[in-house]
Amino acid sequence: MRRRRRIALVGCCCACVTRATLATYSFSESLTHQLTKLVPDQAPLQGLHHTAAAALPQLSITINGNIPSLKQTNWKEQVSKRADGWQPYEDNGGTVVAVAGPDFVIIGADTRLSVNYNILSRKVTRIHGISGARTFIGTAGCWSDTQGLLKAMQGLVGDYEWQQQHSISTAALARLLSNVLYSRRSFPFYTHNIVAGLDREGAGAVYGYDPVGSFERVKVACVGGGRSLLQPIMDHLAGDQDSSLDRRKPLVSVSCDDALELVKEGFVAAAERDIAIGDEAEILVIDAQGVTRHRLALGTH
Amino acid sequence: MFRNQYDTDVTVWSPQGRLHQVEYAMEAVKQGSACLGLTSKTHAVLCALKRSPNELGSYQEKIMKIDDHMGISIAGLTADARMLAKYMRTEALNHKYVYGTQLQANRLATDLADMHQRCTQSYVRRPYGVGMLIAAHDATGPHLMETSPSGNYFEYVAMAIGARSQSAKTYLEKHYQDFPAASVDDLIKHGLKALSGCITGDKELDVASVSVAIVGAGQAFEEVQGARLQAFLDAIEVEGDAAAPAPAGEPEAPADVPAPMDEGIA
Repeated sequence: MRRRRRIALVGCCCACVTRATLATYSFSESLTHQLTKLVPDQAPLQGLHHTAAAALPQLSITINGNIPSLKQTNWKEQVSKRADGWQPYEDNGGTVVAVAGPDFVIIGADTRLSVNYNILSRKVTRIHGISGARTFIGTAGCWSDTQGLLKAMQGLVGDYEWQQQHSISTAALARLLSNVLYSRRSFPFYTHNIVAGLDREGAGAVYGYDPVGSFERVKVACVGGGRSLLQPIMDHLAGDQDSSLDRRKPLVSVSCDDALELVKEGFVAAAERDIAIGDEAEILVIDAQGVTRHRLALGTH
Repeated sequence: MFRNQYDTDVTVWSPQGRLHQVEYAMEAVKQGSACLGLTSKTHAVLCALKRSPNELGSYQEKIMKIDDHMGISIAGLTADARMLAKYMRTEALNHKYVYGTQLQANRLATDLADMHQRCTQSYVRRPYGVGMLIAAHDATGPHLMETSPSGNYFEYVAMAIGARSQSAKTYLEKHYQDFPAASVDDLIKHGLKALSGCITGDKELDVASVSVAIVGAGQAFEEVQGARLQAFLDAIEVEGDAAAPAPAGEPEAPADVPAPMDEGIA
């Protein structure tokens, strides 16, 4: 689905874009400079994007009860392949990014809730603290599944903490989430998750997930719609991934400020390219001192 | 208490219209060490005397948190109390899962009372041997409720249960009109002064054997411990005016009966 959209966009982009507004990404350019350059020029482009994409409807042939029919579908719409047309899933967008450092962890997500070409909300929180502990779950994907998943997690973590008389560790929460996701293997939570917190030794721990619970501790993780845009950028922080020490305790070696700067720049760049990312990025920095929330304004188009 | 021919089963009435097994269960509560609760217009406080089986052992916890807005203090069989606390915590969590709001304490108390009653009308179960003081704060303010093995529950302004609790009740009855307007610190001091009458012999309240917890407006259920508790104990010593020790006539366990802690009562 994603690939088809990109082809359609590239098709109309080549025709429409001539200016240097879609500036090449550069580490050295300051954030504000990029913003002032991009935002005023974006408005006229937006209308063109919209018309061009609409002019390229996707055609698909669907088999409905053995009778083939020609059906015109929106490129992004989740089409049901069932005879009764039942489609329980909806992609409400969202992108979550996290970075694990030697004594900090950063997790950020955009706050736009969308469905197809519509915006449902500009101000949702995708990053949730679990039961007062300083570990957070960031979730992208279907919003109803996000809420159901988090409610289940809050209940289970509450149980855990009463029994253990201790707040849940990041590693334990990570495995708990994996088990909850896999328990729904036959009807998955349509969610892309990241768990971020400090491990028992105070170092950053980031875990990335797929919708059915496969997880791995990593240095940097990106999930959600903007993953293909942001993962390569965040990988600049990861450096050489090959050492065996990395696998057991993967940490980036940059400073917290540098990592935060890249996360912010990444969100700004991704918001310019992907229609589902925008409005605001909510970024949390968790370290021994506590949790700091940063809010970054993104384009509202 | 004397043995009767109608006390073998909880399902048997006596000719006087009493259920002796239920009354015996309430005796277990009276064997537990004292705990009390009191409320002001904004807060509720629980105080309890902790027991330890001997000098080598740790003190049995008497106060348990149920949720941010609710906690209990127990007297009687600690194993029964643990099961009930687990039940209450699960109910509070489930309520939050389903409704997204805090479980109202009196609803939980009613539920508990029903649970207790079921055990007084069943051939295969015995009554719970624990009395509880529930301190909670909700939209209607602070509350203090007592549950008992009989399945009855009442709401109080202030109440004490357990061994030698009469002396604490006397103090509370004397001073309860000062409670509504009292500050949190004063409320705690009242509680400690009331508790000081419940100790045996010439022992005094000390930080290791006393439990205090508060809950109220803007105050999640929390135990007062360590240096903070010591400060209160020092304050009441200076102020004096503690409760009178239990009068000699108050029933105490006879010497040849095993000590309550050996039977799991605290």
